[in-house]
Amino acid sequence: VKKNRRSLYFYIAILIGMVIIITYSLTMESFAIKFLPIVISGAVLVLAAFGLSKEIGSGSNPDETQIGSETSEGEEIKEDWKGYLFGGGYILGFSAGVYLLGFIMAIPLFILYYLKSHKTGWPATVLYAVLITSTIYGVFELGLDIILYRGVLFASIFE
Amino acid sequence: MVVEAFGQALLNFLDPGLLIYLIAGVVTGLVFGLVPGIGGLLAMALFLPFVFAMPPKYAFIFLVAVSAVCYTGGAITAILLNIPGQEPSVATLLDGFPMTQKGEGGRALGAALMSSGLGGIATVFIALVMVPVIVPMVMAFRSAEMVFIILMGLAFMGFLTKESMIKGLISGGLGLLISLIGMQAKTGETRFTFGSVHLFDGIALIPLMLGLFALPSAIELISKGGTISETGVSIKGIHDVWEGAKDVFRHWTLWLRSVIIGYIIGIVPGIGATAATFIAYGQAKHTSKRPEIFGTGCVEGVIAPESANNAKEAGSLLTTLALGIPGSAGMALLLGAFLMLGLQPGPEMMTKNLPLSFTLLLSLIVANVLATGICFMFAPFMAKVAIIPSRFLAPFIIVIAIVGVYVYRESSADVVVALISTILGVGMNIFGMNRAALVLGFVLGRLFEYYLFIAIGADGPLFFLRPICLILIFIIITLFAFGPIKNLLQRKKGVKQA
Repeated sequence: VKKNRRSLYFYIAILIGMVIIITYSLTMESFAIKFLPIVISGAVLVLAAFGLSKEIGSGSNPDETQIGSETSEGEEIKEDWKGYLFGGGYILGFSAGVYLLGFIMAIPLFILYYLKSHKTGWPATVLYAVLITSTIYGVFELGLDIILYRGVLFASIFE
Repeated sequence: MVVEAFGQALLNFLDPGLLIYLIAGVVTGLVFGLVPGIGGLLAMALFLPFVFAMPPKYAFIFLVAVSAVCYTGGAITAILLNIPGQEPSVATLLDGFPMTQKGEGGRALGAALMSSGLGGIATVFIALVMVPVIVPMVMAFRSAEMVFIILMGLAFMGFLTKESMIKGLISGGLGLLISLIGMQAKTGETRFTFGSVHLFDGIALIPLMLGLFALPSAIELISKGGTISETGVSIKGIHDVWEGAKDVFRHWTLWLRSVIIGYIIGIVPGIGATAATFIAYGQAKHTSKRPEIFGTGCVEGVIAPESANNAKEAGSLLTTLALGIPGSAGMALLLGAFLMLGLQPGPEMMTKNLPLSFTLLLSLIVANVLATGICFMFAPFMAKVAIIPSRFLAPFIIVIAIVGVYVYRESSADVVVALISTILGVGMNIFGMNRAALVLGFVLGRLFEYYLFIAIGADGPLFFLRPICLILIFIIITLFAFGPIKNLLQRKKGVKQA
């Protein structure tokens, strides 16, 4: 049931998205630039409508929708979302760290925080953080002569 | 011309720099292929920013070597630990892991390494023989034909998603739409940029790729937690490995059939290695005198998918080079790298740049020989990479991906694009969409518009009436009609039997 509902939401979201793109594309001036966006989003719109009708059709068939326990599936989805949010949070946190502190400061701090929050011992944590940071610094700054971003807080000092 | 170009390609291998990059590519492909959740595609995506610092001809060799051997590494963890390094390795573990459970892990490993190595080498020779056939064929192709060749590649987007063709086509459509962002080549007008200067050049492949593949993989590793494998490694000794290698010669007809399947699927754009391995496995079971032993740990079940796996690469590379149509997501990445490094795949690769095409094909042979040799020596040691705890792998992927995105154009806006692509990648995963189809759509989208306007300009709006175009239109229609017609016939047969 949940899987079926998930697909329904997906197709509805695609339909809305494509209607917005078509409407926006119609406001473009020349035919050459609006031709493909309208054709492609039109095709995707038709496909999504077809998928939605198919999904609604299969939803009315009890044999296909009564699969598994709804509660356990719901819990699984909840767990999935929790995991995704957790993972996404780490990526976002690291990106924010890079923006503020720059790569050379953010990389070891991120690895230290990540490994310590996953109950890793201090020696392994420090060694791994130093290893990754020095490899990144060695490859990019020393090897490829690329200046890694220093972060808004320290940019003025380094400049 | 062909002999001269081949000689020039052979001479290229006397360059020590080329060999160093080739070895680096082989080692990279093997190591990343070994690590579950990373795989060759991600390895190529991660290393794309680095290749821009390399001389172009070495960069191509490096990427080709990575893509040539990444599946070899994936088979090792599939057989020994029941962990497929990447999707195509799933077919290998069906019989590979039961063999390990029976104490024949070494034999399975030997069979896998020998069949994939020989498969990769044999198809290069097939591809080299096919060059004289491909050259005149490609020369007959003009922009009008290219439009339909690209459309044929796009049609395969639907077949990339196992569950639903509609979702595969929608994924590809989204990729096409993303490719339209930025300045249009013909008019110079901008589309979907919303006034952002950064988007004038369009979305770059690197942040999109890393956002779609690398970062969602890290998220998955974080949410899963713990260690990747709980099963121990079982290799009795090198004797077992050799026994497995000999099995390939004992079952040479099966090996040859699987190689041909892999090569043909490699030529057809958009199908990919997973389909090749499963089709090869299916035919092995179908033609076997003892189909009941498949799945219980028989060596034929390892030889078939592994032969098709690496065999696909030569066919895929030839199509990518000659027609500019990537045969897989990995080749789509390679095509993107070619374009970014200033090389336009297409007919010129079979004429002006024929020596480079031969060099790339020959590098597949050397890469396969090297990979097989290295794996034979270090297989037991390399397999332990797969048991690295995910808490060490996940931060590594996050750091290398974000750094990779930034250094590509030294632009923080690219990092934002990668983060948005990550949301898209995770969402696509949840809703059962295909990220490879999106990449295929993205890469082919720009080429499609480019050739479409040239075709209309050169041949008028009725450009599709050229004979080859009509044949291609027929093939595209057949591709879509095949499934429904087959179902209809089966239903009719069922009614008659009833």
